[in-house]
Amino acid sequence: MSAPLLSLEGVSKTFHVRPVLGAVRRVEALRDVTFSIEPGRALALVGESGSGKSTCGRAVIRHFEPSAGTIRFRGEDIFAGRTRRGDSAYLRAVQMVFQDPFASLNPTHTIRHHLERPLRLHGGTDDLEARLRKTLSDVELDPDTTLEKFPHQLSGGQRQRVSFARALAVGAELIVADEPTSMLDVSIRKSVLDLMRRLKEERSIAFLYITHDIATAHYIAEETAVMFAGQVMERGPSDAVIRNPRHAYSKLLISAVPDPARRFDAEADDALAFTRQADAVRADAARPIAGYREIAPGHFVAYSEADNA
Amino acid sequence: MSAAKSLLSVQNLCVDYLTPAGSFRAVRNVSLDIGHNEIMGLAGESGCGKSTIAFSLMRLHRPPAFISDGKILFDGEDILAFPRRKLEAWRWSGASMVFQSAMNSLNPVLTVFEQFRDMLARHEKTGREAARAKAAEMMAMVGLPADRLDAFPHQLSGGMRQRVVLAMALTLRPRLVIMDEPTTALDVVVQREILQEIVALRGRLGFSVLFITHDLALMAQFADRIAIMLEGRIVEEGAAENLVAFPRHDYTRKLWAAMPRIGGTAA
Repeated sequence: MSAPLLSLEGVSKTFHVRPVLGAVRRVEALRDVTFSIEPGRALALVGESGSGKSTCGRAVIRHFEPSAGTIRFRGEDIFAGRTRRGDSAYLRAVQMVFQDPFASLNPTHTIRHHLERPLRLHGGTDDLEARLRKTLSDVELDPDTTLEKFPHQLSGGQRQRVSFARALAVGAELIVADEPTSMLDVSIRKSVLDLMRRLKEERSIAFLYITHDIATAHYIAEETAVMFAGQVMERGPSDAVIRNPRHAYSKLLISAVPDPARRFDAEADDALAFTRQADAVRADAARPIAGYREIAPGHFVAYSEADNA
Repeated sequence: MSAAKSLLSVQNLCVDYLTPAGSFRAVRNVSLDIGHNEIMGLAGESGCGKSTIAFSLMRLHRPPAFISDGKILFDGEDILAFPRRKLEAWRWSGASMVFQSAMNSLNPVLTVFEQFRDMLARHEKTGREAARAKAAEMMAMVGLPADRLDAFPHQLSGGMRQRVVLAMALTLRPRLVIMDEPTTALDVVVQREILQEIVALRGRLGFSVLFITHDLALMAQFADRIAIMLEGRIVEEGAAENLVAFPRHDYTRKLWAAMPRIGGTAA
Protein backbone atom coordinates (compact mmCIF):
# COMPACT_ATOMS: atom_id res chain seq x y z
CA MET A 1 0.00 0.00 0.00
CA SER A 2 1.25 3.44 -0.89
CA ALA A 3 0.84 6.51 1.29
CA PRO A 4 -2.69 7.92 1.25
CA LEU A 5 -3.35 10.99 -0.86
CA LEU A 6 -6.25 12.06 1.29
CA SER A 7 -7.08 11.01 4.80
CA LEU A 8 -9.83 11.97 7.21
CA GLU A 9 -9.23 11.30 10.88
CA GLY A 10 -12.15 11.58 13.27
CA VAL A 11 -13.79 14.38 11.31
CA SER A 12 -16.93 15.83 12.88
CA LYS A 13 -19.06 18.77 11.87
CA THR A 14 -21.91 20.27 13.84
CA PHE A 15 -24.12 22.88 12.22
CA HIS A 16 -26.23 25.28 14.26
CA VAL A 17 -29.43 25.82 12.39
CA ARG A 18 -31.12 29.09 13.30
CA PRO A 19 -34.68 29.14 12.10
CA VAL A 20 -36.54 32.48 11.81
CA LEU A 21 -38.76 31.32 14.65
CA GLY A 22 -37.94 28.88 17.40
CA ALA A 23 -34.81 27.67 19.08
CA VAL A 24 -31.39 27.01 17.57
CA ARG A 25 -31.05 23.39 16.59
CA ARG A 26 -27.79 21.42 16.53
CA VAL A 27 -27.30 19.13 13.55
CA GLU A 28 -24.47 16.67 13.80
CA ALA A 29 -23.83 16.27 10.08
CA LEU A 30 -20.59 14.32 10.49
CA ARG A 31 -19.58 12.24 13.50
CA ASP A 32 -16.06 10.95 13.81
CA VAL A 33 -15.56 10.09 10.15
CA THR A 34 -12.32 8.29 9.27
CA PHE A 35 -11.13 6.99 5.91
CA SER A 36 -8.33 7.45 3.39
CA ILE A 37 -7.82 7.31 -0.37
CA GLU A 38 -4.64 6.40 -2.23
CA PRO A 39 -3.60 7.85 -5.62
CA GLY A 40 -5.31 6.16 -8.56
CA ARG A 41 -7.99 4.59 -6.39
CA ALA A 42 -11.60 5.39 -5.70
CA LEU A 43 -13.55 5.36 -2.48
CA ALA A 44 -17.33 5.38 -2.72
CA LEU A 45 -19.40 7.00 -0.01
CA VAL A 46 -22.86 5.45 -0.15
CA GLY A 47 -25.93 6.14 1.93
CA GLU A 48 -29.38 7.66 1.81
CA SER A 49 -30.06 11.38 1.51
CA GLY A 50 -29.11 13.22 4.66
CA SER A 51 -26.57 10.62 5.71
CA GLY A 52 -23.72 13.14 5.52
CA LYS A 53 -21.99 11.89 2.39
CA SER A 54 -22.17 15.20 0.53
CA THR A 55 -21.16 17.10 3.67
CA CYS A 56 -18.08 14.92 3.74
CA GLY A 57 -17.27 15.88 0.15
CA ARG A 58 -17.76 19.54 0.92
CA ALA A 59 -15.38 19.33 3.88
CA VAL A 60 -12.74 17.81 1.59
CA ILE A 61 -13.00 20.67 -0.91
CA ARG A 62 -12.61 23.00 2.09
CA HIS A 63 -16.07 24.43 1.91
CA PHE A 64 -16.00 24.64 5.71
CA GLU A 65 -13.71 23.69 8.55
CA PRO A 66 -14.65 20.59 10.56
CA SER A 67 -15.64 21.08 14.21
CA ALA A 68 -13.19 18.33 15.17
CA GLY A 69 -10.71 15.99 13.53
CA THR A 70 -8.20 16.54 10.75
CA ILE A 71 -8.23 16.22 6.99
CA ARG A 72 -4.80 15.56 5.49
CA PHE A 73 -3.76 15.85 1.89
CA ARG A 74 -0.38 14.22 1.12
CA GLY A 75 0.10 14.05 4.87
CA GLU A 76 -0.47 17.74 5.56
CA ASP A 77 -3.39 19.21 7.46
CA ILE A 78 -5.38 21.17 4.90
CA PHE A 79 -6.50 23.76 7.44
CA ALA A 80 -3.20 24.29 9.31
CA GLY A 81 -0.62 26.94 8.42
CA ARG A 82 -2.44 28.12 5.33
CA THR A 83 -0.49 30.21 2.84
CA ARG A 84 -1.75 31.74 -0.33
CA ARG A 85 0.48 29.49 -2.38
CA GLY A 86 -0.50 26.38 -0.50
CA ASP A 87 -4.14 27.30 -0.89
CA SER A 88 -3.89 27.65 -4.61
CA ALA A 89 -2.00 24.37 -4.91
CA TYR A 90 -4.65 22.56 -2.87
CA LEU A 91 -7.56 24.07 -4.75
CA ARG A 92 -5.87 23.02 -7.98
CA ALA A 93 -5.18 19.46 -6.89
CA VAL A 94 -8.64 18.81 -5.48
CA GLN A 95 -11.51 19.36 -7.89
CA MET A 96 -15.22 18.79 -7.64
CA VAL A 97 -17.71 17.47 -10.19
CA PHE A 98 -21.33 18.13 -9.30
CA GLN A 99 -24.56 16.25 -9.82
CA ASP A 100 -26.31 18.71 -12.09
CA PRO A 101 -24.37 19.39 -15.30
CA PHE A 102 -26.99 22.03 -16.22
CA ALA A 103 -26.23 24.11 -13.17
CA SER A 104 -22.46 23.66 -12.98
CA LEU A 105 -21.60 25.18 -16.38
CA ASN A 106 -22.23 28.83 -17.20
CA PRO A 107 -24.96 28.97 -19.86
CA THR A 108 -23.65 32.23 -21.36
CA HIS A 109 -20.15 30.94 -22.13
CA THR A 110 -18.78 28.50 -24.67
CA ILE A 111 -16.97 25.30 -23.75
CA ARG A 112 -13.78 27.01 -24.95
CA HIS A 113 -14.23 29.70 -22.30
CA HIS A 114 -14.88 27.11 -19.58
CA LEU A 115 -11.63 25.30 -20.28
CA GLU A 116 -9.39 28.18 -21.41
CA ARG A 117 -9.59 30.00 -18.10
CA PRO A 118 -8.38 27.17 -15.88
CA LEU A 119 -5.72 26.21 -18.44
CA ARG A 120 -4.44 29.79 -18.56
CA LEU A 121 -4.52 30.33 -14.81
CA HIS A 122 -2.66 27.17 -14.01
CA GLY A 123 -0.38 26.75 -17.02
CA GLY A 124 0.11 30.05 -18.80
CA THR A 125 -0.63 30.73 -22.45
CA ASP A 126 1.97 28.48 -24.14
CA ASP A 127 0.39 25.99 -26.56
CA LEU A 128 -2.99 26.97 -25.20
CA GLU A 129 -4.88 25.77 -28.26
CA ALA A 130 -3.11 22.41 -28.31
CA ARG A 131 -3.67 21.86 -24.57
CA LEU A 132 -7.28 22.83 -24.97
CA ARG A 133 -7.83 20.26 -27.69
CA LYS A 134 -5.94 17.59 -25.77
CA THR A 135 -8.04 18.16 -22.65
CA LEU A 136 -11.22 17.61 -24.62
CA SER A 137 -9.91 14.50 -26.35
CA ASP A 138 -8.94 13.15 -22.94
CA VAL A 139 -12.60 13.08 -21.96
CA GLU A 140 -13.60 11.60 -25.33
CA LEU A 141 -15.14 14.76 -26.77
CA ASP A 142 -14.38 15.95 -30.31
CA PRO A 143 -12.57 19.33 -30.06
CA ASP A 144 -13.67 20.40 -33.55
CA THR A 145 -17.36 20.17 -32.83
CA THR A 146 -17.39 20.91 -29.10
CA LEU A 147 -15.13 23.90 -28.47
CA GLU A 148 -17.38 26.66 -29.77
CA LYS A 149 -20.61 25.21 -28.42
CA PHE A 150 -22.61 26.51 -25.49
CA PRO A 151 -23.62 24.16 -22.66
CA HIS A 152 -27.26 23.96 -23.83
CA GLN A 153 -26.10 22.53 -27.15
CA LEU A 154 -24.60 19.49 -25.44
CA SER A 155 -26.31 16.45 -23.93
CA GLY A 156 -26.16 15.81 -20.18
CA GLY A 157 -23.45 13.20 -20.65
CA GLN A 158 -21.34 15.53 -22.78
CA ARG A 159 -21.75 18.32 -20.25
CA GLN A 160 -20.61 16.03 -17.48
CA ARG A 161 -17.54 15.22 -19.59
CA VAL A 162 -16.81 18.96 -19.82
CA SER A 163 -16.95 19.10 -16.01
CA PHE A 164 -14.32 16.35 -15.85
CA ALA A 165 -12.27 18.15 -18.53
CA ARG A 166 -12.31 21.28 -16.38
CA ALA A 167 -10.90 19.28 -13.48
CA LEU A 168 -8.23 17.75 -15.74
CA ALA A 169 -7.32 21.17 -17.14
CA VAL A 170 -5.87 22.26 -13.81
CA GLY A 171 -4.16 18.94 -13.19
CA ALA A 172 -6.48 17.52 -10.55
CA GLU A 173 -5.07 14.71 -8.41
CA LEU A 174 -8.27 14.07 -6.47
CA ILE A 175 -11.75 14.51 -7.90
CA VAL A 176 -14.69 14.70 -5.54
CA ALA A 177 -17.59 13.47 -7.69
CA ASP A 178 -20.97 14.05 -6.05
CA GLU A 179 -23.58 11.89 -7.81
CA PRO A 180 -22.06 12.66 -11.23
CA THR A 181 -24.32 10.22 -13.08
CA SER A 182 -27.61 10.38 -11.23
CA MET A 183 -29.12 12.99 -13.55
CA LEU A 184 -28.01 11.21 -16.70
CA ASP A 185 -29.98 8.75 -18.78
CA VAL A 186 -29.40 5.09 -18.05
CA SER A 187 -27.78 4.35 -21.40
CA ILE A 188 -25.05 7.00 -21.03
CA ARG A 189 -24.42 6.57 -17.32
CA LYS A 190 -22.04 3.73 -17.84
CA SER A 191 -19.92 5.59 -20.40
CA VAL A 192 -19.33 8.38 -17.87
CA LEU A 193 -18.42 5.79 -15.23
CA ASP A 194 -16.03 4.20 -17.73
CA LEU A 195 -14.41 7.59 -18.27
CA MET A 196 -13.87 7.93 -14.52
CA ARG A 197 -12.37 4.48 -14.43
CA ARG A 198 -9.98 5.33 -17.25
CA LEU A 199 -8.86 8.58 -15.59
CA LYS A 200 -8.22 6.62 -12.45
CA GLU A 201 -6.22 3.88 -14.12
CA GLU A 202 -4.32 5.87 -16.74
CA ARG A 203 -3.67 9.10 -14.88
CA SER A 204 -3.67 7.90 -11.29
CA ILE A 205 -6.38 10.34 -10.34
CA ALA A 206 -8.03 9.49 -7.04
CA PHE A 207 -11.81 9.72 -6.67
CA LEU A 208 -14.08 10.36 -3.75
CA TYR A 209 -17.26 9.06 -5.36
CA ILE A 210 -20.44 10.09 -3.57
CA THR A 211 -23.53 8.17 -4.59
CA HIS A 212 -26.75 6.52 -3.53
CA ASP A 213 -26.46 4.07 -6.41
CA ILE A 214 -24.68 1.13 -4.87
CA ALA A 215 -24.30 -0.83 -8.11
CA THR A 216 -22.22 2.00 -9.62
CA ALA A 217 -20.09 2.17 -6.46
CA HIS A 218 -19.30 -1.47 -6.94
CA TYR A 219 -18.51 -0.78 -10.58
CA ILE A 220 -15.86 1.90 -10.10
CA ALA A 221 -14.64 2.03 -6.52
CA GLU A 222 -12.07 -0.23 -4.88
CA GLU A 223 -13.34 0.73 -1.46
CA THR A 224 -16.81 1.58 -0.19
CA ALA A 225 -17.91 3.30 3.00
CA VAL A 226 -21.55 3.10 4.08
CA MET A 227 -22.76 6.22 5.89
CA PHE A 228 -25.82 6.80 8.01
CA ALA A 229 -26.72 9.75 10.25
CA GLY A 230 -23.28 11.28 9.82
CA GLN A 231 -21.36 8.14 10.80
CA VAL A 232 -19.52 5.51 8.79
CA MET A 233 -21.23 2.20 9.59
CA GLU A 234 -18.94 -0.02 7.59
CA ARG A 235 -16.01 0.42 5.25
CA GLY A 236 -13.73 -1.88 3.31
CA PRO A 237 -13.11 -3.41 -0.12
CA SER A 238 -16.21 -2.74 -2.25
CA ASP A 239 -16.71 -6.35 -3.12
CA ALA A 240 -16.75 -7.43 0.53
CA VAL A 241 -18.90 -4.54 1.77
CA ILE A 242 -21.47 -4.81 -1.03
CA ARG A 243 -21.70 -8.55 -1.55
CA ASN A 244 -21.21 -9.53 2.04
CA PRO A 245 -22.27 -6.61 4.25
CA ARG A 246 -21.77 -7.20 7.98
CA HIS A 247 -23.40 -4.23 9.68
CA ALA A 248 -27.20 -4.41 10.07
CA TYR A 249 -27.63 -1.05 8.37
CA SER A 250 -25.45 -1.91 5.37
CA LYS A 251 -27.40 -5.15 5.05
CA LEU A 252 -30.67 -3.23 4.99
CA LEU A 253 -29.41 -0.68 2.47
CA ILE A 254 -27.96 -3.26 0.13
CA SER A 255 -30.96 -5.57 0.36
CA ALA A 256 -33.08 -2.71 -1.00
CA VAL A 257 -31.01 -2.25 -4.17
CA PRO A 258 -33.25 -3.22 -7.09
CA ASP A 259 -32.52 -6.75 -8.22
CA PRO A 260 -34.45 -8.00 -11.25
CA ALA A 261 -34.11 -11.58 -10.03
CA ARG A 262 -36.19 -10.97 -6.90
CA ARG A 263 -39.91 -10.23 -7.30
CA PHE A 264 -41.80 -8.06 -4.84
CA ASP A 265 -44.98 -10.15 -4.94
CA ALA A 266 -43.09 -13.04 -3.41
CA GLU A 267 -42.40 -10.89 -0.38
CA ALA A 268 -45.54 -8.77 -0.36
CA ASP A 269 -47.00 -10.51 2.67
CA ASP A 270 -44.36 -9.11 4.93
CA ALA A 271 -44.36 -5.60 3.47
CA LEU A 272 -45.10 -4.11 6.86
CA ALA A 273 -42.58 -6.39 8.52
CA PHE A 274 -39.88 -4.98 6.23
CA THR A 275 -40.89 -1.42 7.14
CA ARG A 276 -40.82 -2.19 10.86
CA GLN A 277 -37.47 -3.89 10.60
CA ALA A 278 -36.10 -0.96 8.56
CA ASP A 279 -37.25 1.50 11.24
CA ALA A 280 -35.63 -0.56 13.99
CA VAL A 281 -32.32 -0.85 12.14
CA ARG A 282 -32.28 2.89 11.44
CA ALA A 283 -32.99 3.78 15.07
CA ASP A 284 -30.16 1.49 16.14
CA ALA A 285 -27.72 2.84 13.57
CA ALA A 286 -28.38 6.47 14.56
CA ARG A 287 -26.85 5.90 18.02
CA PRO A 288 -23.23 6.96 18.56
CA ILE A 289 -20.64 4.46 17.43
CA ALA A 290 -18.29 3.17 20.13
CA GLY A 291 -15.63 1.82 17.79
CA TYR A 292 -14.83 -0.38 14.83
CA ARG A 293 -13.94 -4.04 14.54
CA GLU A 294 -11.59 -5.06 11.74
CA ILE A 295 -13.19 -8.29 10.62
CA ALA A 296 -10.88 -8.80 7.63
CA PRO A 297 -7.86 -6.80 6.45
CA GLY A 298 -9.16 -3.31 5.70
CA HIS A 299 -12.81 -4.21 6.39
CA PHE A 300 -14.15 -2.24 9.37
CA VAL A 301 -17.58 -2.65 10.95
CA ALA A 302 -18.94 -0.22 13.54
CA TYR A 303 -20.32 -1.26 16.92
CA SER A 304 -22.19 0.74 19.52
CA GLU A 305 -22.08 0.60 23.34
CA ALA A 306 -25.19 -1.56 23.37
CA ASP A 307 -23.56 -4.17 21.12
CA ASN A 308 -20.71 -4.45 23.58
CA ALA A 309 -22.88 -4.89 26.63
CA MET B 1 -55.35 -10.11 -24.26
CA SER B 2 -58.57 -9.01 -25.98
CA ALA B 3 -59.83 -5.45 -25.59
CA ALA B 4 -62.97 -6.56 -23.80
CA LYS B 5 -61.06 -8.28 -21.06
CA SER B 6 -58.64 -5.49 -20.33
CA LEU B 7 -59.41 -2.58 -18.02
CA LEU B 8 -57.60 0.01 -20.09
CA SER B 9 -57.05 -0.25 -23.79
CA VAL B 10 -55.01 2.36 -25.60
CA GLN B 11 -55.31 2.12 -29.36
CA ASN B 12 -53.00 3.85 -31.84
CA LEU B 13 -52.49 6.84 -29.57
CA CYS B 14 -50.63 9.79 -31.12
CA VAL B 15 -49.71 12.89 -29.13
CA ASP B 16 -48.22 15.93 -30.84
CA TYR B 17 -46.54 19.00 -29.43
CA LEU B 18 -47.03 22.19 -31.38
CA THR B 19 -43.84 24.18 -31.63
CA PRO B 20 -43.00 27.28 -33.66
CA ALA B 21 -41.01 24.99 -35.95
CA GLY B 22 -44.00 22.76 -36.64
CA SER B 23 -45.58 19.90 -34.77
CA PHE B 24 -43.52 17.23 -33.06
CA ARG B 25 -44.99 13.79 -32.55
CA ALA B 26 -43.99 12.66 -29.05
CA VAL B 27 -46.14 9.54 -28.94
CA ARG B 28 -46.42 7.54 -32.15
CA ASN B 29 -49.17 5.01 -32.64
CA VAL B 30 -48.91 3.49 -29.19
CA SER B 31 -51.23 0.60 -28.38
CA LEU B 32 -51.28 -0.77 -24.87
CA ASP B 33 -53.59 -2.96 -22.81
CA ILE B 34 -53.71 -3.18 -19.04
CA GLY B 35 -55.61 -6.08 -17.54
CA HIS B 36 -57.61 -6.10 -14.33
CA ASN B 37 -55.31 -6.21 -11.30
CA GLU B 38 -52.29 -6.05 -13.52
CA ILE B 39 -49.14 -4.00 -12.92
CA MET B 40 -47.98 -2.76 -16.29
CA GLY B 41 -44.53 -1.22 -16.50
CA LEU B 42 -43.56 1.41 -19.03
CA ALA B 43 -39.82 2.02 -19.25
CA GLY B 44 -37.65 4.30 -21.33
CA GLU B 45 -35.21 7.16 -21.17
CA SER B 46 -36.05 10.81 -20.64
CA GLY B 47 -37.83 12.31 -23.60
CA CYS B 48 -39.15 9.00 -24.96
CA GLY B 49 -42.77 10.01 -24.35
CA LYS B 50 -43.61 7.85 -21.34
CA SER B 51 -44.79 10.72 -19.13
CA THR B 52 -46.70 12.22 -22.06
CA ILE B 53 -48.66 8.97 -22.24
CA ALA B 54 -49.38 9.06 -18.51
CA PHE B 55 -50.72 12.60 -18.68
CA SER B 56 -52.75 11.85 -21.81
CA LEU B 57 -54.44 8.87 -20.18
CA MET B 58 -55.80 11.14 -17.45
CA ARG B 59 -56.44 13.88 -20.02
CA LEU B 60 -54.14 16.05 -17.94
CA HIS B 61 -52.00 16.97 -20.93
CA ARG B 62 -51.89 20.69 -21.61
CA PRO B 63 -51.21 22.71 -24.74
CA PRO B 64 -48.93 22.69 -26.67
CA ALA B 65 -49.56 18.94 -26.33
CA PHE B 66 -52.67 17.54 -27.97
CA ILE B 67 -53.93 14.08 -28.80
CA SER B 68 -54.03 13.91 -32.57
CA ASP B 69 -55.20 10.36 -33.08
CA GLY B 70 -56.19 7.16 -31.32
CA LYS B 71 -58.55 5.94 -28.64
CA ILE B 72 -58.29 5.43 -24.89
CA LEU B 73 -60.89 2.95 -23.68
CA PHE B 74 -61.45 2.51 -19.95
CA ASP B 75 -63.70 -0.45 -19.35
CA GLY B 76 -64.99 -0.05 -22.90
CA GLU B 77 -65.75 3.68 -22.58
CA ASP B 78 -63.83 6.25 -24.60
CA ILE B 79 -62.18 8.65 -22.17
CA LEU B 80 -61.43 11.14 -24.93
CA ALA B 81 -65.17 11.55 -25.46
CA PHE B 82 -65.99 12.17 -21.76
CA PRO B 83 -67.68 15.51 -21.13
CA ARG B 84 -66.01 17.70 -18.51
CA ARG B 85 -68.29 16.73 -15.60
CA LYS B 86 -67.88 13.05 -16.22
CA LEU B 87 -64.13 13.41 -16.61
CA GLU B 88 -63.85 15.22 -13.28
CA ALA B 89 -65.88 12.55 -11.53
CA TRP B 90 -63.81 9.82 -13.18
CA ARG B 91 -60.49 11.25 -12.00
CA TRP B 92 -59.69 9.94 -8.49
CA SER B 93 -62.59 7.48 -8.53
CA GLY B 94 -62.02 5.66 -11.82
CA ALA B 95 -58.33 6.32 -12.22
CA SER B 96 -55.88 8.29 -10.08
CA MET B 97 -52.33 9.42 -10.51
CA VAL B 98 -49.21 9.50 -8.34
CA PHE B 99 -46.49 11.86 -9.55
CA GLN B 100 -42.75 11.83 -9.08
CA SER B 101 -42.56 14.78 -6.77
CA ALA B 102 -44.97 14.47 -3.86
CA MET B 103 -44.02 17.94 -2.66
CA ASN B 104 -45.38 19.42 -5.87
CA SER B 105 -48.56 17.37 -5.92
CA LEU B 106 -49.60 18.29 -2.38
CA ASN B 107 -50.85 21.78 -1.60
CA PRO B 108 -48.20 23.32 0.71
CA VAL B 109 -50.65 25.58 2.59
CA LEU B 110 -53.22 22.92 3.47
CA THR B 111 -52.87 20.17 6.07
CA VAL B 112 -52.93 16.59 4.90
CA PHE B 113 -56.47 16.22 6.22
CA GLU B 114 -57.75 19.27 4.33
CA GLN B 115 -56.50 17.70 1.10
CA PHE B 116 -58.31 14.45 1.85
CA ARG B 117 -61.45 16.39 2.80
CA ASP B 118 -61.33 18.42 -0.40
CA MET B 119 -61.33 15.28 -2.52
CA LEU B 120 -63.96 13.44 -0.44
CA ALA B 121 -66.33 16.41 -0.26
CA ARG B 122 -66.10 17.01 -3.96
CA HIS B 123 -66.61 13.44 -5.06
CA GLU B 124 -68.81 11.91 -2.40
CA LYS B 125 -70.15 14.92 -0.47
CA THR B 126 -68.63 13.38 2.64
CA GLY B 127 -69.07 15.36 5.86
CA ARG B 128 -66.16 16.45 8.03
CA GLU B 129 -66.45 13.67 10.63
CA ALA B 130 -66.82 10.91 8.06
CA ALA B 131 -63.96 12.35 6.01
CA ARG B 132 -61.75 12.32 9.09
CA ALA B 133 -62.52 8.66 9.73
CA LYS B 134 -61.97 7.72 6.10
CA ALA B 135 -58.69 9.64 5.90
CA ALA B 136 -57.43 8.02 9.11
CA GLU B 137 -58.31 4.60 7.73
CA MET B 138 -56.38 5.27 4.52
CA MET B 139 -53.39 6.64 6.43
CA ALA B 140 -53.28 3.48 8.55
CA MET B 141 -53.37 1.43 5.37
CA VAL B 142 -50.12 2.98 4.15
CA GLY B 143 -48.52 2.76 7.59
CA LEU B 144 -48.91 6.36 8.79
CA PRO B 145 -50.36 7.35 12.20
CA ALA B 146 -53.62 9.34 12.10
CA ASP B 147 -52.10 12.33 13.93
CA ARG B 148 -50.06 13.08 10.80
CA LEU B 149 -53.33 14.21 9.21
CA ASP B 150 -52.87 17.57 10.90
CA ALA B 151 -49.35 18.04 9.54
CA PHE B 152 -48.50 20.29 6.63
CA PRO B 153 -46.65 18.66 3.73
CA HIS B 154 -43.32 20.32 4.62
CA GLN B 155 -43.44 18.69 8.05
CA LEU B 156 -43.29 15.22 6.49
CA SER B 157 -40.31 13.39 5.02
CA GLY B 158 -40.23 12.62 1.30
CA GLY B 159 -41.24 9.03 1.89
CA MET B 160 -44.16 10.03 4.15
CA ARG B 161 -45.37 12.55 1.58
CA GLN B 162 -45.35 9.91 -1.14
CA ARG B 163 -47.33 7.60 1.19
CA VAL B 164 -49.89 10.37 1.73
CA VAL B 165 -50.27 10.80 -2.04
CA LEU B 166 -50.63 7.03 -2.42
CA ALA B 167 -53.28 6.92 0.33
CA MET B 168 -55.20 9.72 -1.40
CA ALA B 169 -54.91 7.99 -4.76
CA LEU B 170 -56.49 4.84 -3.30
CA THR B 171 -59.21 6.48 -1.18
CA LEU B 172 -62.00 6.40 -3.77
CA ARG B 173 -61.09 2.84 -4.76
CA PRO B 174 -60.04 3.59 -8.34
CA ARG B 175 -59.52 0.65 -10.64
CA LEU B 176 -56.39 2.11 -12.18
CA VAL B 177 -53.54 3.99 -10.53
CA ILE B 178 -51.02 5.67 -12.84
CA MET B 179 -47.64 6.09 -11.17
CA ASP B 180 -45.10 8.30 -12.90
CA GLU B 181 -41.67 7.65 -11.32
CA PRO B 182 -43.29 7.50 -7.86
CA THR B 183 -40.12 6.59 -6.00
CA THR B 184 -37.37 8.19 -8.08
CA ALA B 185 -36.84 10.98 -5.55
CA LEU B 186 -36.68 8.52 -2.63
CA ASP B 187 -33.92 6.41 -1.12
CA VAL B 188 -33.72 2.74 -2.01
CA VAL B 189 -34.90 1.49 1.38
CA VAL B 190 -37.98 3.74 1.36
CA GLN B 191 -38.54 2.87 -2.29
CA ARG B 192 -38.69 -0.80 -1.50
CA GLU B 193 -40.99 -0.20 1.50
CA ILE B 194 -43.48 1.72 -0.64
CA LEU B 195 -43.48 -0.58 -3.66
CA GLN B 196 -43.89 -3.69 -1.51
CA GLU B 197 -46.78 -1.99 0.16
CA ILE B 198 -48.41 -1.27 -3.20
CA VAL B 199 -48.13 -4.93 -4.17
CA ALA B 200 -49.70 -5.95 -0.85
CA LEU B 201 -52.50 -3.37 -1.22
CA ARG B 202 -53.24 -4.56 -4.73
CA GLY B 203 -53.75 -8.03 -3.32
CA ARG B 204 -56.13 -6.65 -0.71
CA LEU B 205 -58.07 -3.99 -2.66
CA GLY B 206 -57.64 -5.04 -6.29
CA PHE B 207 -56.54 -2.35 -8.75
CA SER B 208 -54.39 -2.07 -11.86
CA VAL B 209 -51.22 -0.01 -12.05
CA LEU B 210 -49.44 1.72 -14.89
CA PHE B 211 -45.92 2.10 -13.50
CA ILE B 212 -43.52 4.43 -15.28
CA THR B 213 -39.81 4.49 -14.54
CA HIS B 214 -36.40 4.53 -16.13
CA ASP B 215 -35.12 1.92 -13.66
CA LEU B 216 -35.39 -1.39 -15.48
CA ALA B 217 -34.18 -3.50 -12.56
CA LEU B 218 -36.81 -2.04 -10.26
CA MET B 219 -39.50 -2.52 -12.89
CA ALA B 220 -38.57 -6.18 -13.29
CA GLN B 221 -39.18 -6.65 -9.55
CA PHE B 222 -42.49 -4.87 -9.51
CA ALA B 223 -44.36 -5.18 -12.82
CA ASP B 224 -46.21 -8.16 -14.29
CA ARG B 225 -45.72 -7.00 -17.85
CA ILE B 226 -43.27 -4.46 -19.25
CA ALA B 227 -43.29 -2.26 -22.34
CA ILE B 228 -40.09 -0.55 -23.50
CA MET B 229 -40.38 2.83 -25.23
CA LEU B 230 -37.97 4.48 -27.61
CA GLU B 231 -38.62 7.78 -29.38
CA GLY B 232 -42.37 7.69 -28.93
CA ARG B 233 -42.87 4.05 -29.89
CA ILE B 234 -43.19 0.85 -27.94
CA VAL B 235 -40.38 -1.33 -29.25
CA GLU B 236 -40.87 -4.38 -27.07
CA GLU B 237 -43.54 -5.68 -24.75
CA GLY B 238 -43.86 -8.85 -22.77
CA ALA B 239 -44.04 -10.61 -19.42
CA ALA B 240 -41.56 -9.15 -16.95
CA GLU B 241 -39.56 -12.34 -16.54
CA ASN B 242 -39.17 -12.73 -20.32
CA LEU B 243 -37.96 -9.18 -20.75
CA VAL B 244 -35.32 -9.85 -18.13
CA ALA B 245 -34.22 -13.26 -19.32
CA PHE B 246 -34.78 -13.01 -23.10
CA PRO B 247 -34.84 -9.41 -24.29
CA ARG B 248 -35.42 -9.46 -28.04
CA HIS B 249 -35.07 -5.85 -29.15
CA ASP B 250 -31.57 -4.38 -29.47
CA TYR B 251 -32.58 -1.33 -27.47
CA THR B 252 -33.79 -3.44 -24.53
CA ARG B 253 -30.50 -5.31 -24.56
CA LYS B 254 -28.64 -2.01 -24.69
CA LEU B 255 -30.55 -0.73 -21.66
CA TRP B 256 -29.71 -3.85 -19.67
CA ALA B 257 -26.06 -3.71 -20.72
CA ALA B 258 -25.79 -0.07 -19.68
CA MET B 259 -26.65 -0.84 -16.08
CA PRO B 260 -23.89 -1.90 -13.75
CA ARG B 261 -25.22 -4.65 -11.54
CA ILE B 262 -23.88 -5.93 -8.27
CA GLY B 263 -24.16 -9.47 -9.55
CA GLY B 264 -21.98 -8.54 -12.54
CA THR B 265 -18.23 -8.38 -12.70
CA ALA B 266 -16.44 -5.52 -11.02
CA ALA B 267 -13.49 -5.59 -13.37
